[in-house]
Amino acid sequence: MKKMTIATVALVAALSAFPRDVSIVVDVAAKPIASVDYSAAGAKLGAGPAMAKQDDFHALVARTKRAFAAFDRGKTDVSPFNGKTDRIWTRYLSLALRDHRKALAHGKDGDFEYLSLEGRGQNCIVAVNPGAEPVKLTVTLKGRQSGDWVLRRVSADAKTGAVTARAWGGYCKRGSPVTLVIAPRSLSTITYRAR
Amino acid sequence: MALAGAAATAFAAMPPATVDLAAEPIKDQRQLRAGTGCGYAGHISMLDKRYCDEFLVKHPDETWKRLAEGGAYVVREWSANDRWQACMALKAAKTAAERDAVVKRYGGIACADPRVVWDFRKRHGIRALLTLENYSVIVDTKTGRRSDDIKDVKRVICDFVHWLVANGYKNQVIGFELSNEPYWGNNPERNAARWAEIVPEIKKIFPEVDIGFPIAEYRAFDPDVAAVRRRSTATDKWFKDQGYYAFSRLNQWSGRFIVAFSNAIDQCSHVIYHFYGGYRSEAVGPSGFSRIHAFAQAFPEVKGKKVWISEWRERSDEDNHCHQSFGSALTKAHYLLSTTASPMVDCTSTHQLSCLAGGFYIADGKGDWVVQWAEHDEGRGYGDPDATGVPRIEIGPAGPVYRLYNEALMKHPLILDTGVWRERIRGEKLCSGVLFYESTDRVKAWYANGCKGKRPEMRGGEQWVLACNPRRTSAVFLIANSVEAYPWPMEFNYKGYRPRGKARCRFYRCRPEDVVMRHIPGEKSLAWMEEKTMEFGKIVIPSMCVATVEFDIEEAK
Repeated sequence: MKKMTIATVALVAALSAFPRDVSIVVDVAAKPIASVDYSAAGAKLGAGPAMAKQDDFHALVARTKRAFAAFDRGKTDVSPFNGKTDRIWTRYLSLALRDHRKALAHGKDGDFEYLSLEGRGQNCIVAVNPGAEPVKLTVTLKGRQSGDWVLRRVSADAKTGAVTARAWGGYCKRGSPVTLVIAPRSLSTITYRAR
Repeated sequence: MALAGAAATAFAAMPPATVDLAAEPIKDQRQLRAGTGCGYAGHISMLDKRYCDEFLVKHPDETWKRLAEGGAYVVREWSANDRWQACMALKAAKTAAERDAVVKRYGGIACADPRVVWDFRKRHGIRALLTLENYSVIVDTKTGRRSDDIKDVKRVICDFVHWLVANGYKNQVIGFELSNEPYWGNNPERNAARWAEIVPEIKKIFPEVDIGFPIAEYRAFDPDVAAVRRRSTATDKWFKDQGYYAFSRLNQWSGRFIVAFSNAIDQCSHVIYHFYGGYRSEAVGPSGFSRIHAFAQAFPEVKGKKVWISEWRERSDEDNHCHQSFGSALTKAHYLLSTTASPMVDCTSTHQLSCLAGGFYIADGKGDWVVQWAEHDEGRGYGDPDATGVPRIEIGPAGPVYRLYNEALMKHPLILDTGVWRERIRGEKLCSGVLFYESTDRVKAWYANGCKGKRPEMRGGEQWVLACNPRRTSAVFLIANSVEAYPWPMEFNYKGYRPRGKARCRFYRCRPEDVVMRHIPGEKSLAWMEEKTMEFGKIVIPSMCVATVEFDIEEAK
């Protein structure tokens, strides 16, 4: 029994080490699901009373997913984000919405969800991965050539739940799909050149 | 660890180099108008009036704090005479309407008072290389009328030089560049004839000033040619379908200029190069130094003249993003060591301070980071989530390199020796920088192609320059260590003087896995600084590190 438990734990750990594959095809010629009215979204994102409970990663995930759903309904306003954690994420999400005003698609794969945006010669994927496994994301761009990417990420520590932010730029062969691993328990914006 | 151990064993076979701390210096930077000579093309006041007001008028102390963090002790100003005229016009405007008219006409280059800029430079010991242009000058600031009459051009340039001298800014002037890249389509004989009239007049006003003229020395696939072609339809037509001949015509420009300029060439102390491209066949490395020597062989008129490399970068405008990595900063560090140790090079200016070239990031305050030549909408810029309506400056990944090297060289202006690892090798011949640059390129390609197989190793070399102070009481090693596989146990034998006490080490480093990753303006840097004291014999330079190791010395008995 003890051996089984160890084996099970080992299997789970091994599976966790292999990212789940999620592929997205972004079609820039497709009819957008919504246009971002940044003046409204931006105001909402930065407004509202501070609520201590919102300093929680899962609350943040829920709010971001509700925002995605709003885009599905063609709405452009986003629920207000506040609190310490929210400010870190809002900083990135605001930038994504400000610079990429055309919402192209909203999709999901299990608990992984994404919103695809376009604007200013770039595409942007806003990705929510609340699960404990990494996701290997492959984004194929139809109609334009993709290029190097910038990842802005907010992630929660598995043990403490502490949220940290990190941003860096990586590489993609021009015209090839953008591939990168989305960390577990993270919210990310991935911006890449699309010309 | 096994690899490191094997490497250490193999390396132990070669004895450490013996460096002579009593030697005649390769170069005494006190004698140079450029001082340390490690700086930037561009300067903080070349952006429009809004930036100048914010940075130099409202918050000069905060601005200097930032600039010092990025080691901006040497700058270069394009179109210096035009900018001075515009600033003087703004200063002379008496009414609000007049001021508005000047700002509207010259807002892109005008500051409230040229003294604001020059007093700032004087206060902080900033030295500026000034590019003069002889095509035309402003003769009526109210109407914007310009004149290309040589009498007007000569008068205005001389007025500018006289103003610099009369206001006590001579020590802030490194020298004058006779046109910025005039070889892109202009007539060399006309250009030379005009400068031949102006240069003697400049020398009458400011006899000790250095003056230099540009040399076109480009090669096929030069990244700057590609970048200029994108910006200029005329140049693009010139190169179309006749690559080799176009390069010949471009490079012949310099020969024709030199012949036509023979009357005044002796009054010029420097030749000027703009070098772009970090691969071994390109200019930022031994190939560039060879080109300088080869040109001097072909044209003895320039032999013995010192060199300003007043623009350089391992890539040109075709790739602004590549400059935002620690790998780019380390490549730059290698080249700075090579040029610092080169007896013929007085000054290098990395292109450029106010664009995303690695030294600084400048936010426009409206939501974007400033990019030269390319708009954000082309997907080449970065959005700024922290815009507050006012511009601000942040330090890029290369900034700390300039800070470390400048701070070390200002205290230790005698350049004594140079080499790589345990060998003393002339800086111009060192390939550490180009080897490292090429290895980072392979790593980028590995990432871009989906990280298949083992990541290629990054390997350049452990390049160093040794300098000391004039009293020979302290010395410093300037180091760029771009060997990924193992750290460098720094060992030397000393002659003439010997180290005394512990060494003061400053390391600027980055995790190997982050070396080629781009730093995003406004976000936490992927590299960090460390300062520590270490005992001699136990100094280890971490891999992927830019360092200075400073120590006191005493005469060896």
